Amino acid sequence: MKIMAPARRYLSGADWMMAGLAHAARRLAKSGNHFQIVLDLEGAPDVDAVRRGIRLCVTRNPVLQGRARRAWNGVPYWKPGTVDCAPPDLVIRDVHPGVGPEDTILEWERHLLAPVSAPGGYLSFLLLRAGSTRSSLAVRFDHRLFDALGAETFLAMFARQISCEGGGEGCVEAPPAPSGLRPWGEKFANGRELNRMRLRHRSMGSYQLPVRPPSAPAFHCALIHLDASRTRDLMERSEREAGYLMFTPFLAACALRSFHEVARRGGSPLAGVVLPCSVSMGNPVEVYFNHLSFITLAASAGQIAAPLLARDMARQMYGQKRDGWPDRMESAWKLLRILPATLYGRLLSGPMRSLLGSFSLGYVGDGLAGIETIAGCRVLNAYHVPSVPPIPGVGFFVNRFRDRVNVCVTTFNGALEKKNHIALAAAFRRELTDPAPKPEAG
Amino acid sequence: MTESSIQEQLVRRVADILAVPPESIRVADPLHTLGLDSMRMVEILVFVEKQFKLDLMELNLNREDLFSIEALARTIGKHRSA
Repeated sequence: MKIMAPARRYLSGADWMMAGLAHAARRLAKSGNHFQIVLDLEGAPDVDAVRRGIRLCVTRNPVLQGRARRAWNGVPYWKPGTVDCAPPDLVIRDVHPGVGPEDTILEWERHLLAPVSAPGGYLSFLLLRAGSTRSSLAVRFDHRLFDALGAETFLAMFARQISCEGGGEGCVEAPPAPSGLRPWGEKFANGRELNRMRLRHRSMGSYQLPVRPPSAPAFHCALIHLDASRTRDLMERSEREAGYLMFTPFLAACALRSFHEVARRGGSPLAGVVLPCSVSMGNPVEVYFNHLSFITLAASAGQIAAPLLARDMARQMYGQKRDGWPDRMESAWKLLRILPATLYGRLLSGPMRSLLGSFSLGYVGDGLAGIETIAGCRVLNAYHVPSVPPIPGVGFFVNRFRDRVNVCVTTFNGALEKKNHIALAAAFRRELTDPAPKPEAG
Repeated sequence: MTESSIQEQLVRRVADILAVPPESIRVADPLHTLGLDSMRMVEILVFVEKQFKLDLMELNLNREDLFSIEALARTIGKHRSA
């Protein structure tokens, strides 16, 4: 008699890597692997409406109350919880109406490290009110359960939930996903190719900053907001240097130059840079779990100095896609699901740290543009303010909101001291707004 | 292979990438208005290389050559017959 296994949501290779990174973050940074989305609002929202929206969104969704378990076949899956757990509270902080951007950023940095309060704790909400004319709502997401695009979809649902005042959408389920155990041969072949790629990068020489556990772990975040005019200039330049619709390779080139310069000036010159660039694998976008993989770009010190770096990055992206990455990476990662998340985290911050590259880069597009209001307040801007895995401890995160580009440069203070973090953000801003002239891509 | 046939294959591939019905795609619309990002654009270029044996990255094309499905089909037709 064949016993039918229940339809389960088995976790992907990317999900399990995020679980490992969560443990690495807990060890080194005393925090989780979180990111937050901040919505700058005109006016101050109705707090009761926001609390109602939180309660409805969370209590109607048992996925948010669940946790990872391991099936009989050794593959981790998500076990949803019950729907009667207490939802996370809305933390409200009132600040002086004249508060400057530096103080606001401190609030987001602290929110990244704030302990979780609710069972599961995959979400937390912070409302910063600066008088009655402006406010900001920060929603923190746990990367074990959300990727950037899924979080944006969740926020849009949350905004609709508030405006429907208790009606509106119900439960958003995570559809079942197969274990993906077979075919084994293909996974081992992809794992072998991933190891070969890693060895090629290591043969280049040093490409990671040394990271030490600091006495008081902290994340430093720097925000760059470009207005419509600067965004237009930036997109035109991206086309000239990297090619039509090649914004991510263009950003990669800007980030590579900034990072390399700061590493050199900070006394840790590197032989090159390896950059895992996150790419979305989900279409259409699902709310929960990680549907991402990576394209790994690499450049020696000599290549970084070359004028056609952006074009080079576009070609590398093309070459990797033609060779079957990033699907092959997800396939290889599936092999590591056998590891307990705690051990995976130790390996990622130890012998496997070279897999994490020199720094992270993510560009998530303009998925937040459709959120017009939250609890009656117009959304003026929306951007990501994430933490980074403590190794490599540096990340650049870019999104578009309508006609503007937002950037968050996040560093972990075990990788970069505050003054080098400031220098890195300033270097990246210069790359985006006032660079030296470069040759055109065509 | 006619330009029309190239266009049809491109429409099917773009629709597949974007997970939308092929009939919803207008061939004259700029590609950036269809919701394509760098990775999706690279997927299209890889499809062109595999399907039409043309490496567009090597051809030093300008924006107008790639701007829409219509323009892309024209570019592919021109370089295949060259």
